[in-house]
Amino acid sequence: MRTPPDHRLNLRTILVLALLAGVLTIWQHSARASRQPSLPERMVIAVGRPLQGLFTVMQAWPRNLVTGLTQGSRLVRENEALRRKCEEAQAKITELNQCYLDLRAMVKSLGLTLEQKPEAVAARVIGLDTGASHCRATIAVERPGTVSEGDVVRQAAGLVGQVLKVQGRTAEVLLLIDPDAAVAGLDLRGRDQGIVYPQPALALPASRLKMEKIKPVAAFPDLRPGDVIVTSGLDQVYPMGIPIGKIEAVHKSPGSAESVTAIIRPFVDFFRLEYVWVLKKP
Amino acid sequence: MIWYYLGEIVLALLLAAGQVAWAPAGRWEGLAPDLVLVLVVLVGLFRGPEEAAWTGLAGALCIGALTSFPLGGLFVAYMGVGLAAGMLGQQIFSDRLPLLMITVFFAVWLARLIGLVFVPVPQFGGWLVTTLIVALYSALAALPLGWLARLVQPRTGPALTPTPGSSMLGRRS
Repeated sequence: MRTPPDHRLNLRTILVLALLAGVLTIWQHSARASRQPSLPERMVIAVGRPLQGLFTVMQAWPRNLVTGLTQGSRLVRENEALRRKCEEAQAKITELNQCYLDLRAMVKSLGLTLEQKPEAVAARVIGLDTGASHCRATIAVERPGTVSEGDVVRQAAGLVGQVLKVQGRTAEVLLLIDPDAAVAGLDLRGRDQGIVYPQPALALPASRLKMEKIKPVAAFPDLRPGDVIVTSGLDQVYPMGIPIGKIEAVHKSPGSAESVTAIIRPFVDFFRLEYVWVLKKP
Repeated sequence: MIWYYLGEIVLALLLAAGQVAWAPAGRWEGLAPDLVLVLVVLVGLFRGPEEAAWTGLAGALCIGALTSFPLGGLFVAYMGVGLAAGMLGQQIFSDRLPLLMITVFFAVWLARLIGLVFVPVPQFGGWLVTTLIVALYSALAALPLGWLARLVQPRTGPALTPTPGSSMLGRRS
């Protein structure tokens, strides 16, 4: 006959576990002073991150299967069309490369230098941790050492955030909707500048951003719904010209015409991130 | 016994990785269910407070490491919930899945309340909404996990005498 589960509290065991928890906490705090995870955390990360990657890949299988089964013929046609476009694009690239070489030769003969575009690395998003107090993503790159702290993360649509920590092939990204995130923004139409923060909302994590502390070009800020906001580069963290979002609404303070807040709908859907670009710091 | 505890660590790690890598399409307002907490509650109800506290410790370490969250608050929250669930195991009919879901729902609130003491949030309203969503979602996730645990329990657990006071197993036999 087997014994029933013991639901009584053994204080000695609990005390040992509490002590262990205390040691692990202190270990983490002391390791964080040198901006590194503690040894137990590193062990968990070493096993957990590949698992995250595996789960992310596995999630795509059913979707790919369903898409293949239901839209196979359409995808074949689309593939053909894309292949043709790809060949046309390749031809244009060859042409542009020739132009670039000519331009470079011309610049060299004039004694000038060309501005280098930052190098970009593709990364897969393998984890998303969003809550009321933090919004972070975990990304994985092909090779270790290709991403470093402070690198800018973006999608074709717009700015995603900044690399906070790197651990081998994976990195933690501070998303633009994190309460700690901020970016210097620029209104493309009116050229007014300001700081873009996440917009706290009841349904956190934030799905909107807000632009405040506006520095207007004219006497008063001229922000209008529909205006596109891009990074201004003034924060020296994000390079200028990366799209952030579109103004959805403008709130003016009744007391002061200078006090304006723009609510921005970001171009990036932060909850459906799959692939991103990591721009290396220049 | 050591294999049992190691198995719990592996399970906690798997669920923590699954929770962090939860598919974007399956997120509710960008939030995933707290699978590790569901595991802690299940272990508490099915195995007792000590095992649940151990699972809470392992689960908090896994989640903390994968999300870079401060461990102190996580340990207190997860181990506290494990202890509470373990002691409740005697008192409630925890094999009933709806009751298990309700337990998980309140466990999320308890864990988040404890977490609130350690990590203040910028906006309390937002915290309330996110906690409600995570609690509801975790309660839903507890349904398949609880069903699996009921299947597995008779094979792994030391359980199962039909004593009138014991929670789930007494009534099943």
